[in-house]
Amino acid sequence: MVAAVAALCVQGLATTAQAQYPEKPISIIYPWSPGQPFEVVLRKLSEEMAKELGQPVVINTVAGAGGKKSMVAAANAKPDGYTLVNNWVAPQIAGKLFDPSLPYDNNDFTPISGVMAIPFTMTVSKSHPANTMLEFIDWSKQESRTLNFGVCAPQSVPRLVGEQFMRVAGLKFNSIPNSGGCMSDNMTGLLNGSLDISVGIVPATQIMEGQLKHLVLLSDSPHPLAPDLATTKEVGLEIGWGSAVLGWGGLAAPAGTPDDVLVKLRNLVGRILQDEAFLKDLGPLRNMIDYKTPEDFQTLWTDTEVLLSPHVAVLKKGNN
Amino acid sequence: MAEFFDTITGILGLLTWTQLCFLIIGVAAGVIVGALPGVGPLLGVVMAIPFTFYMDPISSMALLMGIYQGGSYGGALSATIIGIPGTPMAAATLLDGHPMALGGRASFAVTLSTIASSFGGVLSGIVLIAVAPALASIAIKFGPSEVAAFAFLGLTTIGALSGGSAAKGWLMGFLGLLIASVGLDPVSGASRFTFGSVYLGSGISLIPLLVGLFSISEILRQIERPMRVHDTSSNVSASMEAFRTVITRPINYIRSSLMGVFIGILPGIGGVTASFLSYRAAMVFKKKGDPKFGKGNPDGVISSEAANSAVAGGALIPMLAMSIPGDPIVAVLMGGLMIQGIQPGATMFLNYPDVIDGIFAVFVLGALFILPIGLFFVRIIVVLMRLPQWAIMSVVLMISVIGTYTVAREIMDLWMLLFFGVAGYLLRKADYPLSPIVVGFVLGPIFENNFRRTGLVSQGDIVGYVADRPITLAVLVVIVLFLAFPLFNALKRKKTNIPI
Repeated sequence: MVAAVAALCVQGLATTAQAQYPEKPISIIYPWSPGQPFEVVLRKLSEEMAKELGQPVVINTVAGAGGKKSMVAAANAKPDGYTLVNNWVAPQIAGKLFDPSLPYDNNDFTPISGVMAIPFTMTVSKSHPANTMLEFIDWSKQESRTLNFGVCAPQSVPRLVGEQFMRVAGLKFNSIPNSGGCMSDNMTGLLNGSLDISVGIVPATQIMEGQLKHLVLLSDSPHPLAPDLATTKEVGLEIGWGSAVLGWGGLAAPAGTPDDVLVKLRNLVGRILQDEAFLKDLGPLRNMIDYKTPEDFQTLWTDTEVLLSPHVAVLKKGNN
Repeated sequence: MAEFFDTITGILGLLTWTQLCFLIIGVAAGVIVGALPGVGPLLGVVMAIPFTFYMDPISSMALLMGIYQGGSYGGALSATIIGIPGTPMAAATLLDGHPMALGGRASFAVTLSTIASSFGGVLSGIVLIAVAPALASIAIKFGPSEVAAFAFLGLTTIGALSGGSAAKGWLMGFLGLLIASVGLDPVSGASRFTFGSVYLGSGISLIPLLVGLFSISEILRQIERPMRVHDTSSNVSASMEAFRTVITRPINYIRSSLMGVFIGILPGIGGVTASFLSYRAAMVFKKKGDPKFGKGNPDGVISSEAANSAVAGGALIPMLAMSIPGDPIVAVLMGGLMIQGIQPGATMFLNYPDVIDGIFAVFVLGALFILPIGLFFVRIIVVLMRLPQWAIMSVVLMISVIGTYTVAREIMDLWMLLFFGVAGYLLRKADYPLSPIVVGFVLGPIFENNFRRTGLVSQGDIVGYVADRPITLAVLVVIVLFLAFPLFNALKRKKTNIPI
């Protein structure tokens, strides 16, 4: 009798718990060190989510090891809908390709939605004689030397994309990675002449507007972040993956999260990301928003993996 | 010149009471986070960012820069009083501040740090206002070879920091370099000494290393043999004496502050280098009759504190003028501006002159506020020092553990803390100096990354490349002098047969 009552109570609790998701704060694991525009976007999104869900949505920064720590934390989190992750291509796809022994893979995560997309560009100093990519290629032929090419972090996605472009463009280059990422070292390198050209992340390089020149967007289609910039297609140097923007980030949950929770989150996030008032509130950052349905987002994971893996292989071979 | 003073007096009137209030909160909060082992100004600024979302830009900068300035100074308080540097740059302040406090001059030592910090901050603020855009162009002249040379110059201070035996100092410096090599290779991205662990993939973190080496080991040593700081002089006379140093040692104040500003401008070199280099410079210009460096020399405290506070003003220059964040805290400040919809950079001077003026005003006032706010904390600390030693040390232990955990909320960091605590204790027992480990650990990666970038950029011809870079060459000459100086002295002593 007692057992039956207890069982009933437990079941009752369980159903109310599910009916009332969320009944405690939700945390979103965020992989980068503070001060990036992505965090602002994510914070605004989490505020909107909190309004609708009636529970706080907290950003939990787990930075380190190029974002891989965040993926490990998310893969090990309880799949109950209270821990989500702002998953990025760098740790999830590129990091895993470079180091297959990492304790996570795509199957450890369930997509909620694609949230942001950051395109890459080729960038030179403002004082560089070339004003377009084709002029740059002509210039480098006259120089006839190996170019110093700044490539962000050693195992980064912009490096893979940028080196592929340099190969397609037939330029002789010497890659110069820096552990500090795309910002400071690459920019100062271009300005003081220790780099001839570098690959950049669009929102980061735009901050340096006035001191740098963007030559080409590394995609076949224009991007709202840089609508006037020539695309690879326009300069006739296609890198072979069409319009895909490989600098993506989104929201995912640990695999095994209950379906009703996923449905609720997917609908909510989808609605917010397509809401004009929300986008307006983001100001210029709205151009980073690239909503993708869970299905499209998951396809993007596998597509990216297929696109990047040969280039990771090239790089790995070069290092050994 | 008259115009310059007009600017200064003019902008001080720009701030509203709300903005002033946020600045005072910021500086006070900064002093606390700076003094707590492990927490530090970076974490303080990061934690404050969400509060700034709904502020006006100048209030936001007042709060954040207040924390930055207060935090750069706060580390000196714990370094002096309990021998535990709250921030890595305070490790240089500890060298003389703590012995001074142990010798019964605690009030004097902390008051001296406060004055030096405030002085360094104000001077760097003036440089910031006067020549920010002009100086910003220096920042970009610094390529990898210059940064590598400066980091190496910082590393050469190790031999001088070791008190007794230079060999022990170098040994510890190399240990710091070795510990720093754990993690990802900065050029190939390959894992080094990580044993397949994702935790070690991002390297050993500075905070558990610093807090473990200094704080945990100090607590262990105190359990064994309680040794406390005391104050034999009255507060008033200690303060008077500390204020008098401004008149009697003006050159040290100015030299150290200017070194701080200059190093602050250079991207990616940072406060630790500034503190230790300026400390090293003070050793070169040692006054006759002063106590030895490492035994409570006031110039040691002044040089370290003036320099590390002055770094803040320098570091803001490339950020404001060219949107290059030279250090992690400034990167967060830059994020704070961007949240407000303001793009730092040359256009900011045209589009938001009021914000620029506000930032200048906030900076100078913030540095001035360090004096009253710092002295207020000094009074509290002097009272707290009367508590029983076991009570102080238990609280320090608690804060060290919580502070270390808060930074990354990573349990492994606590194991590291314990490991470095025990290691630090054993090293202290064997009379090995600890600050060279910090110098090696902090500067090693900066040197390595930039030295290897130099190799790559020069495409193999390092010598030819460096020969074309006058700044690098000049720094290399200074390095040779720094290294040759003690050797030369030793030879001289040998000749005249004076026992060393």
